[in-house]
Amino acid sequence: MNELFENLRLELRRGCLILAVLAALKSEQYGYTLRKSLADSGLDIDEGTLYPLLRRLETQGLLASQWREHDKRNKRFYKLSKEGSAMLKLLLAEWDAINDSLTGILEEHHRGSARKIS
Amino acid sequence: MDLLERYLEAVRRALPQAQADDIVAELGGDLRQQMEDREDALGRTLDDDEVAAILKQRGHPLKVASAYLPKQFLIGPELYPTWRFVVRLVLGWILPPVFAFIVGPVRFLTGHHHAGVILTTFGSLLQAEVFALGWITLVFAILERTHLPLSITAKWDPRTLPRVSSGLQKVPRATAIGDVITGVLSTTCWVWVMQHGSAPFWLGAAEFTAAPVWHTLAWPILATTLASIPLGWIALVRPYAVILRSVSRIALDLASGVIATILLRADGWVSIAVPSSPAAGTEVTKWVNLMIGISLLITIVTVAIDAIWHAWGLLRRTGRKSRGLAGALR
Repeated sequence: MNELFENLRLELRRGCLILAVLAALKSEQYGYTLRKSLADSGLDIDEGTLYPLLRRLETQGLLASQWREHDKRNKRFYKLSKEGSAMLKLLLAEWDAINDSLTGILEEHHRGSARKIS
Repeated sequence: MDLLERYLEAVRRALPQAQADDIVAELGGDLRQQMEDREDALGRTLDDDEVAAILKQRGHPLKVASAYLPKQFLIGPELYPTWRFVVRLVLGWILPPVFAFIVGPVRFLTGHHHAGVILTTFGSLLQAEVFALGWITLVFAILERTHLPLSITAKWDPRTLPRVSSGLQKVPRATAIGDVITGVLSTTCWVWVMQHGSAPFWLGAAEFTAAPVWHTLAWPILATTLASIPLGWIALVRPYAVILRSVSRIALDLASGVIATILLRADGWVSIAVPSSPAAGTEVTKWVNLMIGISLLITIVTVAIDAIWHAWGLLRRTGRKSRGLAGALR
């Protein structure tokens, strides 16, 4: 049961993480600070998922990156590209639509559960 | 930091060369910063155990590297059903009949060691199936990577889908496999008998001579033993074709019954001579012939029961079908 929950949870989070990463990279960040800022917002993402995801999004043209020195160390900074901004807009609209549908379905579900209890 | 360098090197080895430096630099930077943050929190430098714990938490180098690799499968979910269809078609429907009805008979008629032909043909079939599986998989792996369109899935028509099986009855898999094994074994034995039993042969101190009736019926017997193999194979790949199965079984039972009856009408089936004791030879011949006679009787009864059983099943199914059709027309 726990394993099943874990699989379903990962599946549920997968799409949300892309959205969160794209939204968080409206302002330039490097991987370590991005991960910390997401974790501070309650969205933990492990490094093994984040860095390959950043690379994939960059290959798809949604992110742009550059190596720059920061705190006496070379770091790779990521930022949303022009295409990334357009894609984020589309994805957010989709997210809102899913959220509205889900809210309606869940309200129906809660009403059904409440009727059963009473 | 020695541990960190070793870890990064292990990750690098599993990465594509073109991206390795870039990925390792970013991964190393992230790990160094994580360690520095930890050191700041503790107010001291980390020891080897603490560094090892951070690296262990990051994951095995191969696992970390694998997350950066583009494709982790040979054939993806989109092509997999088509791959499966082609594999089943070639391995189940094309190669076995080719070997059973073309390669096997050609080898049998042109070769000298008839007994070994069936086994070597079976071995060649297995070999051909392994090769076919490998080639099909290779072609699909290339298709997967080149993203070439596949007309089978793109141009499908719902009207070409196969009809739903009329009944739920099916030939048990064990029965089908049993038919194939029985066919292979009995054919091999019979071919051996055909080769070695055509002339009198010695077994210990006794000389065995087969009656001429065996030579007369040698090929029909071979045909009936051989027929079990395709019959079992068809039941294995088309388990719902129960009517075809019943008709074939009835035909095979009838053929076996006729052969057994002709054999039963012969005066004797074998004569055994023991030069050192002619009386003993006569006695053994009598007993062996009695056993063969009983075996033939049992065979006739068994095939008759089997034929009746299949005929009864066939009648019930066809009756049920026509009733269903009449009901549907009303």
